[in-house]
Amino acid sequence: MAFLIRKIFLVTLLPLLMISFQSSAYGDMDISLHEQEIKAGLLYNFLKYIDWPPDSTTANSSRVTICVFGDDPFNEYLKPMEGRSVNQQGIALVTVHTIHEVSKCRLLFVNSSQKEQWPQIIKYTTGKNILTVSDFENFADSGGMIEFGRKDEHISVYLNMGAVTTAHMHVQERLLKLVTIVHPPTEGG
Amino acid sequence: MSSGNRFNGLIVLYILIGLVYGMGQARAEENIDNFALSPEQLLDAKVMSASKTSEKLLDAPAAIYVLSNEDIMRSGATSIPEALRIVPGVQVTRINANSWAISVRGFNSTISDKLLVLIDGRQVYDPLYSGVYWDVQDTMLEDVDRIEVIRGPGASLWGANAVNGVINVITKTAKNTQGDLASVALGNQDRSIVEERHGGKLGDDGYWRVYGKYLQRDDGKTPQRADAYDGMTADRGGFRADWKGNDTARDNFTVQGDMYNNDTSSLTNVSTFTPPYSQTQVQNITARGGNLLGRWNRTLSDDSRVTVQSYVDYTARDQLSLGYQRTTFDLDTQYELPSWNRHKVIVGGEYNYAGDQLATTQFVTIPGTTIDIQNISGFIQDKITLEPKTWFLTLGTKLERNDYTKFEVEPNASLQWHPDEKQMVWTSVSRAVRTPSQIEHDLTLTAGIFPFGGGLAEYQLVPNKAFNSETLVAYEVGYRNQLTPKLMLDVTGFYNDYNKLSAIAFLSPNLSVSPAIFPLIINNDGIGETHGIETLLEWRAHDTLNLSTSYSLLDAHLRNPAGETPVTSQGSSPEHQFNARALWDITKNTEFDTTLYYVSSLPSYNVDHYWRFDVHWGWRIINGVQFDLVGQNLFDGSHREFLTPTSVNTTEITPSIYGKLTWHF
Repeated sequence: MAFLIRKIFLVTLLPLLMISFQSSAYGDMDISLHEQEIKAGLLYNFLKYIDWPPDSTTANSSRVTICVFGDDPFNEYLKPMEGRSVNQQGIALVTVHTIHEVSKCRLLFVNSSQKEQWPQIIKYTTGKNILTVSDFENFADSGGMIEFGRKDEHISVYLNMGAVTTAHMHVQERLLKLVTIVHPPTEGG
Repeated sequence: MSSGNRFNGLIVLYILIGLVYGMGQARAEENIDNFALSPEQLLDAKVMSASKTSEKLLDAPAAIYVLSNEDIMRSGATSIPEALRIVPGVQVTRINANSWAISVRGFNSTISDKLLVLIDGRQVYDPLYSGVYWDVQDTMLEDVDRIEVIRGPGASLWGANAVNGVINVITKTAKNTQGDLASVALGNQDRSIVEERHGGKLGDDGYWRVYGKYLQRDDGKTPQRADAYDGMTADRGGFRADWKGNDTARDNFTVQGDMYNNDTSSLTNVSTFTPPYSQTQVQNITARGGNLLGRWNRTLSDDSRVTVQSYVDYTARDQLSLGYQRTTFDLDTQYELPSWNRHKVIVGGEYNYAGDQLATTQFVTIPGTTIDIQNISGFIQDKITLEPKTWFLTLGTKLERNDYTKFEVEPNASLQWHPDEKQMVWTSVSRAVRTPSQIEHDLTLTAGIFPFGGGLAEYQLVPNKAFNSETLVAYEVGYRNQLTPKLMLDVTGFYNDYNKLSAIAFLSPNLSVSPAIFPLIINNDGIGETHGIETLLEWRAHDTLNLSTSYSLLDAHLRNPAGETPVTSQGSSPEHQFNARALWDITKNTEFDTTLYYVSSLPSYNVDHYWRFDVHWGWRIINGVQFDLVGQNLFDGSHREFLTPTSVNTTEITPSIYGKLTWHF
């Protein structure tokens, strides 16, 4: 029994000893973050690496409005974006619950709990320069512009090129290289 | 209780180390600003475990627990039954290296017949005895997306056998298993487990994967320290393809299939007509099988969809006293209607056919050579919004017709109240049935041979064509509270009222034949009640530390007439079960996880209470290469988890250690 305990201690303490070696050798090589933290960070990067048409309704306002349709699913991770700026414009965060409120939004994140509202929302956003983003499955296939997916332990991004192009937005090369482009069949055919 | 003290000491040690490292980590963590990271860094970042509380969990008026892929991988389990140990309120007992008895809310037995187990919607319980052969329910655990466990009757949706619970194993979509994964695990009990999976694209909008797995498990020791001959070798393989329809994005198709080949053995008592009338022998068990499943899902409108699923499943099993082949065909449809006023209605229908070919052996006599069983069922469920976002009433019922008991009605009513977004109180009343199995209804079995009056006599289990379904009326009440974004509490109480429980009775002996026959019959003379509480507390103590603890209490009172024996006795399930788990991300690349389990005694089997301690250490050596070291059942020496020491197939559960290397490429 004593032998076994010693063996077990070796098994369990060995990893702890490895830690010091670990953190120094690989400490800043990889980052791990909460899912919503990553997604919030990506939303900010979309504002940076996607160009809105200069004549868009929201382009020249002093503030960039980021909307969340439904309740904010980002816990505390999205809030710090307010107060930051992108292209010399301050960022404002709003949660919206009705379709009529979305006209002011440059980027609209649809909470997956509002999935059933999506067919109504898209009717309204089509033809406007609103970047639509969500993380429910088939979002990009059902006309959404950017869908967050999950591949093993990483977040992946699916981009509906057709929808983005139709809205006259331009995705910069740097971002384009990182996303998976999807071509959903045209709706209403 | 010296083992208890040792555990206390260890726990203190871990907490201390945890605090020291936790504090160091905390400072490092706070420095990361997710808005300052580049898109490359964000997409490269590893997703940390969040609180498990999904909206779905908070919204369902039932005792649901979802075991995520991360939970499974970090538990160190190498099989589906072992992974279920973490789930609150589930009793997992290992009999030997290749068999388990698993139940929810009591009635644990090697033939736990009140639990419905599904793998990707395919029923895997065995209609011969309504139980589950856990040795063949396996796949690559890396590809399991989640295991949903419902404690309590799921009968109005799932139907027969979903009496005390439903276990639903759901694999990842092919889209989420792209690329290659290869792993090798080597250990003292799990001698070797080798896995390989490859995923690719199918046209523009489709994905596929194939996998193969080989495993070899070592023999254990009997309580008498002799070789238990319970080793196992198995190979399995399978595929899955998911794609979308051509003309519309509303159609999703899935085709998947698996094949397996299991060679196991165990010690068994064999009756003989010569002295000593019973002999312990090693029986070789071969099990082979395969399945093919197709699913079509069409989204009709924003809140309406239809799913059609069909599968065929072939399984063959050969062991000393039993041999059979079975082909199952199942067709299942489900239609979710668009919301109408305050009503959200789901309807469905299912047809299931199982054709069994049994081999008549010296000990099993069957009527004819085949047994065909058909089951047709339909269900309807309406979720009524009484007060938007606050009060919901769900009414549902399943109506099914089976060949044994004809029509069965399994209704359910549940009421849920959300005082605010974080809390939910629910209560429900349901009726569920466990329909007869072939053993009870059709088969004649020799249960034992003994000398009698100068000659021989045999205990013979005779078929009972009048055997009826066991019935349950269950009353449940539950409360969930997402106290803070980091702290979740879930409490469920239940009272189960059973009728027509199976019991074994002696009929009058027939002494005019040789050997004389002492017939036994399984009837419905048992009744009883169980009640209990299940609690779960999950706490994300720190960004790098997830803690959870669960406790379940079960109190069973089962009765049957004098002279009869219950098929499953009340002392076969533990009164108390407890577990505490800590998942700790020591650094970005290392994780250290510990789980402590306590299971109280099983008076029916003379099994003592036991503690179990599992440790998992994971180290991502470089991107895509991970090393895991797992120790299970440490510090205890050995213990039995189920069955009496005289049950020859029981083994001692001893410490298991293995190392595993995984490549993603």
